[in-house]
Amino acid sequence: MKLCSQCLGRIGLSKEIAKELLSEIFDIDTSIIPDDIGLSNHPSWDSLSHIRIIIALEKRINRKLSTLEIIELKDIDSLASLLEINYNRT
Amino acid sequence: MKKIVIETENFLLQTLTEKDASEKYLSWLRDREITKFLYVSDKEQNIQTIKEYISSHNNKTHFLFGIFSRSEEKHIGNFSLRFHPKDKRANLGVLIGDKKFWGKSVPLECRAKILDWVFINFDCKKVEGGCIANNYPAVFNYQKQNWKVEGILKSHRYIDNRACDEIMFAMFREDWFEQRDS
Repeated sequence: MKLCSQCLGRIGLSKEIAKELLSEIFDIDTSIIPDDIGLSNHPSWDSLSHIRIIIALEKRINRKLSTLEIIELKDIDSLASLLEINYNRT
Repeated sequence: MKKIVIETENFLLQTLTEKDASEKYLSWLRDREITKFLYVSDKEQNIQTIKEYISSHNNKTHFLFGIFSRSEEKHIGNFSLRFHPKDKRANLGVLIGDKKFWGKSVPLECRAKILDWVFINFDCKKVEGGCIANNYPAVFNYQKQNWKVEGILKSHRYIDNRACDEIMFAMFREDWFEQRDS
């Protein structure tokens, strides 16, 4: 499937927003957040920060995550994807 | 009863005995914040009910391990393990009673050694666990250790008057050894 430039732009934007969200929670600069950051590969993404990530995401998208979304949320791409889905809903 | 001891870097996992039925253990069971996501009996708990619970584990197929901090030499929580030989499957549950140890990766560190122990010592192919979906730290711990999601039990529990889903996870023997040895 080919994505149009507008869609690619939105995905990139969602990833940037996801980085900003993680940067606030981890209290580190966005520039040092790896592009593939996830709960399995970064020491700052621990069980307590995981709570903060979900709460911050829910606040941002103004709704509770479903159980499936809670399961999917493991890395920056899934975080960006949840932000993207919400963008498309608004 | 033979006492089993499993060592991790920071903890000792030891078979609980009736002597471990302490006021501290009782205080955990009376603390709603600690028990709300767990399957704890609704009946009033006391030292005697704890002793009965401990002695209900036969140490052959049903095990109750106390988690003891090595640095502070104190009991901070429990793991329960129920092995079903016929199905070559075990259920694993955890309670971290001492809130000072919340967010310190205790379940991850201890669960790894328990998985080693059960897969090495028993003809066990699968260990299963579960947690309430909005118990985010518990979900995190299963995901961090690459447990597979087996299913969602919809509206399985009522907690604080709210229907909650339960997520079922599993770790298979071959997946665990592959992950551990990689």
